[in-house]
Amino acid sequence: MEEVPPSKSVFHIPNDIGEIERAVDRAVGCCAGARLSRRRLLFNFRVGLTEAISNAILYGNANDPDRKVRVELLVESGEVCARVTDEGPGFDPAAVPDPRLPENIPKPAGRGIFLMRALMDEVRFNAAGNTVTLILREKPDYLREQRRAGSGTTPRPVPPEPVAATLRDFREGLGLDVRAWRIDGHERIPVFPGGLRDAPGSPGHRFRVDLDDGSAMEVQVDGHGPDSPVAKVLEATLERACGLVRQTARRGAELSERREEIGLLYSISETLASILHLEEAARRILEEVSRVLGVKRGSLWVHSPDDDLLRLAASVGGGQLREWIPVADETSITARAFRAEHPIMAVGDEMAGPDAGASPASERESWLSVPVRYTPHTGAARTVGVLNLIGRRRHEEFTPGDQRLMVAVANQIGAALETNRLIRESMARERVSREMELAHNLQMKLLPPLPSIPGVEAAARVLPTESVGGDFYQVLQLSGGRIGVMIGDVSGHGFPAALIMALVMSAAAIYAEEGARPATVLEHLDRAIGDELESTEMFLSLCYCVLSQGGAEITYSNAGHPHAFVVEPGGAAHRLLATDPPMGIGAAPYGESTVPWTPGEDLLLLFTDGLSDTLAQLRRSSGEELVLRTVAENHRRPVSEILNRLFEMSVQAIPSMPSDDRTAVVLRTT
Amino acid sequence: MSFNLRRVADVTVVEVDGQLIVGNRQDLKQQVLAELERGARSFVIDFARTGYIDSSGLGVLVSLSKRIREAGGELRLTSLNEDLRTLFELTKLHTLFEICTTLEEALAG
Repeated sequence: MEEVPPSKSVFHIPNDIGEIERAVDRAVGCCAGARLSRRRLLFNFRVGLTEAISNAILYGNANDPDRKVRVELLVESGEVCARVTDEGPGFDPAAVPDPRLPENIPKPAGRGIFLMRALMDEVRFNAAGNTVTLILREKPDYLREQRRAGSGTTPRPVPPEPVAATLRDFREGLGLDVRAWRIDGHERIPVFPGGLRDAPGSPGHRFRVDLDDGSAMEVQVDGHGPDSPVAKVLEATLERACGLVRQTARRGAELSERREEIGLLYSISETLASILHLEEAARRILEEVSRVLGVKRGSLWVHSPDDDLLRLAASVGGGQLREWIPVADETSITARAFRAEHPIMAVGDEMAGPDAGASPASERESWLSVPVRYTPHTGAARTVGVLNLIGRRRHEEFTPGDQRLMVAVANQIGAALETNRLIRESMARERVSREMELAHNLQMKLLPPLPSIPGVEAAARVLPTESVGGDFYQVLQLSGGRIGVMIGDVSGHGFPAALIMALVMSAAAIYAEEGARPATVLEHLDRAIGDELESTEMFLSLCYCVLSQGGAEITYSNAGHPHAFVVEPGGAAHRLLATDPPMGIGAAPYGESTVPWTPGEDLLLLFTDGLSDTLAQLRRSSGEELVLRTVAENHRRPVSEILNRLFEMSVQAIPSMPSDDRTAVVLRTT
Repeated sequence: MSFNLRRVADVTVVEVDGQLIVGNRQDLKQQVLAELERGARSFVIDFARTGYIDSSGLGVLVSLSKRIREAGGELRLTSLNEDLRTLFELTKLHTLFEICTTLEEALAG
């Protein structure tokens, strides 16, 4: 594995506890290069640093909003060091009582410093007590060691259940004299059967299996040699049980790690999205670096692979710089540093190159030209630009220490440059178009052809927009000759809306086919997608109608869907009034209503806003009126013709892409 | 970071979605205390979607358990990941709380 050069970052946090989580995530983001287990970084380091920063804000800085907390991070390949400094008078860490003492357990406060010490490998306070240094080192399983060391907390004394069950089956079921011990380092702990105390005796067959937590279990079967089929079967079965346990444990760990990683990714991309203006960010970095090192001029050049030029991204301290330098330019130090992929320190006349900017020829100036490198998580590092510092204020030369610092800074810039490029690219096309495509496919795939149901004449259509929405419909043949008809419209667009639609459609089919009443179906749906709706701040208008067998009535639940009607042959339209607000706003229990229905005469008409809004632009009357009038005028025609008529009109109304999906369902029973 | 409250029979289940730390602990406290005031007595806090808890998060749980017990109620915690369980053991707080493995277990009797 490639060694990552040490890097140092410093940032300041406003004295506000609401800023802690973001600051901690940012710090964790800076540690991506360290060779530490992700789990320790995501748990031990985050909790430890959270404690340090909240102590600094609440106690050190006495919650004073005018103060700041300084966080300094030193990341090396096998170690992460965080130094948190507040502006307060400091305190005496030795004076903090042990929170594990019986009298302290019920107290709500006083665990912060203890947790820091328990979770980090090293915790140091400066003499004043206003700076705490936390160090986390590469070490395989610190938490587990803590667990073992902690008094009163022994590892699970019994084997995992599938393993224990196998042992029980063989002992009790087959009458086999099976005993088992857990081997933990040099320790041998009897684990099966309960009450067993003695060490394994000499006769019988003895073997070992690995348990899920790195320890092993020794099993002895008395009265059977290694060739006994019973012993062999037991050994194989136990091994399989252990394998299963390990697999389950691994899956669980992977899942929780994945969730953490996704959370982290979100917060990092949020931070970086806020520095989309690369030039501004680069200029700020240059200013800071120039100030710290006492440098007169600084410039950042970014490689543009298309024309193989180094383009000026930002400069400070003036000087007339060119807009670009060819990578092949032999006279340019900047280009040389880029090609050589290592820093160049120089002084004097050789600075006469074109990238120096205007400076009096007589003045001998020191130069530091550092390639900006980007190291992806996988794959080789590459050079993406050059960072130049020219002329120290006190005519000093650059030192190797300056160079090391600049390499670290350049690495940070490299990561930011690369992210910036990726964000721009993906925002421009990949993400948006891919999301749309996925959503569109999902929407189309999910809308099944209408089932042909004896005695039912139905037609339905969704015309999705370019920006896919979440309209859907379903016609279901239910038990007892009943028919279910559903229409829904998810607020919002793109993949999240399509996802909700997918969830609703699959859940609806299941519950509807169980023959549940409309209100019960909606309640099940609410339970299935309520969280999803809430977290995405979307809502769903949904109308679900059940026609009774051969029936004279429709029972329905309507969560805020505005356009649901029973249309009589004379054209009179009866609105199926909403029984509840849209899902996501309203909540269970859902209401239910029943209206009369005349087979062979009435039409059930359900449509979404997209259709009526489009039609509203055709004439001055409201879109809904126009839909109803069109249906009334064509009432006796086959439902597919009525549907065609509606969509033809909407296409006439807006030849270009409308803003919302247009969906309609027309149904008649005979 | 959010807290979702729901009722399962007469138990108030609080799902913590995200980290429980100094910046948001008061929200949790207020929401649970408001439910307590409205008459709820059985509480389950579900940490299935929580990566880490800091000391002030632990502190809030301690003071909530006290308030709930004083009101004659009961607080259970569930679905702690292995790191979180270790955190409770390290601080000996596992002696103070009833900690269940699954939500089903927490809701049972």
